[in-house]
Amino acid sequence: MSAESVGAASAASVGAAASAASAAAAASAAAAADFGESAPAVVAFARVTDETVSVDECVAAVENDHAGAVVTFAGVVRDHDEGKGVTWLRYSAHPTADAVLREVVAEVALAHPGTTIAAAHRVGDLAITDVALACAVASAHRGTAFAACAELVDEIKARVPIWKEQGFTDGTTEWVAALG
Amino acid sequence: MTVDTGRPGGARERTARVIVASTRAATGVYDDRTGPVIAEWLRSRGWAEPLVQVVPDGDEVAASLQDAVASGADLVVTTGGTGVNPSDRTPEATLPLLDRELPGIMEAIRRRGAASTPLAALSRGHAGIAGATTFVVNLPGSTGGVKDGLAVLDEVLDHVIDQLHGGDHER
Repeated sequence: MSAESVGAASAASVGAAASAASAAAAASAAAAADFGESAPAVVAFARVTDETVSVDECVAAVENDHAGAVVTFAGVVRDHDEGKGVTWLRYSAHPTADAVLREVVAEVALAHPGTTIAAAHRVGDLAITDVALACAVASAHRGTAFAACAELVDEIKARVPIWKEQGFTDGTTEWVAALG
Repeated sequence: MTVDTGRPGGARERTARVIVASTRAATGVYDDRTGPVIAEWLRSRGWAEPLVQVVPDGDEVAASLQDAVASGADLVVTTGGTGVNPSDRTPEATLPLLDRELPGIMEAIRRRGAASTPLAALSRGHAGIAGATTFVVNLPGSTGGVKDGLAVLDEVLDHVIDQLHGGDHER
């Protein structure tokens, strides 16, 4: 919590200083040296796919010369849920899932200027240890990257219409909303 | 008293989206070069930090364009996907969204580019108005093409945005 507010405060002050400087130099179209301190929000990719997803592909898409921090998240299929053994999972997406994911990623990026974000959510049949959700956030400093990545994962889980059906070791099955 | 902030209208901060259509940039093979140039140009004009979306050439360009228009952005600038490679489909994704075309803008951009390279004639981009108030422009994917495009937009952007937001005029 404190890291988040510190990150946001420092990003805001840097942004204000940089925009004041750019206003002063507005007569010149040439960009002053910009080390990503005043930078747009970038969505490298945001997709729902039935193919394998990986943190590595997300990192490759977001890493850049200005990024001093790359924070990643992998949502991995685990072998248990609420005390019962899980043997398989099937993720199903509503037709709007891809558009909602793009919207969520765009909103989180805009809320954290200077970040570059990639996120991929896999659907279909997954096995234990498969990655269901892969995310990477690059930023000049770690505070912003941590805060943005945490918010990204929370928002994806809360809003993207993807459900999972899981099969237990005792033969029963259960539907669960979004990632568990 | 009115201070010229360089911001058209002045009623609220204008928002822009930048869509970079590049299969190589989207897959992390190389860094996007034109997105930051367009973002810096918007910043120097007093616009809010834009959202830059890097997408592979093809269907995702259309999806991102639709997202951008739906978001109510005042300006959407695309870069890339305007040439004659089979994967270059940005103009095809853009045209169906335009309610009114502004062909003169693309003519001016191509004319400006022709001073540097005859290849400027191969840019198939469109410009126009989507939805009620979103100004959409397809720039080429090359840094030179983007520079030419921004130079042309420099001269007309404020007027276009002001006209689109006629209700923002003082009463």
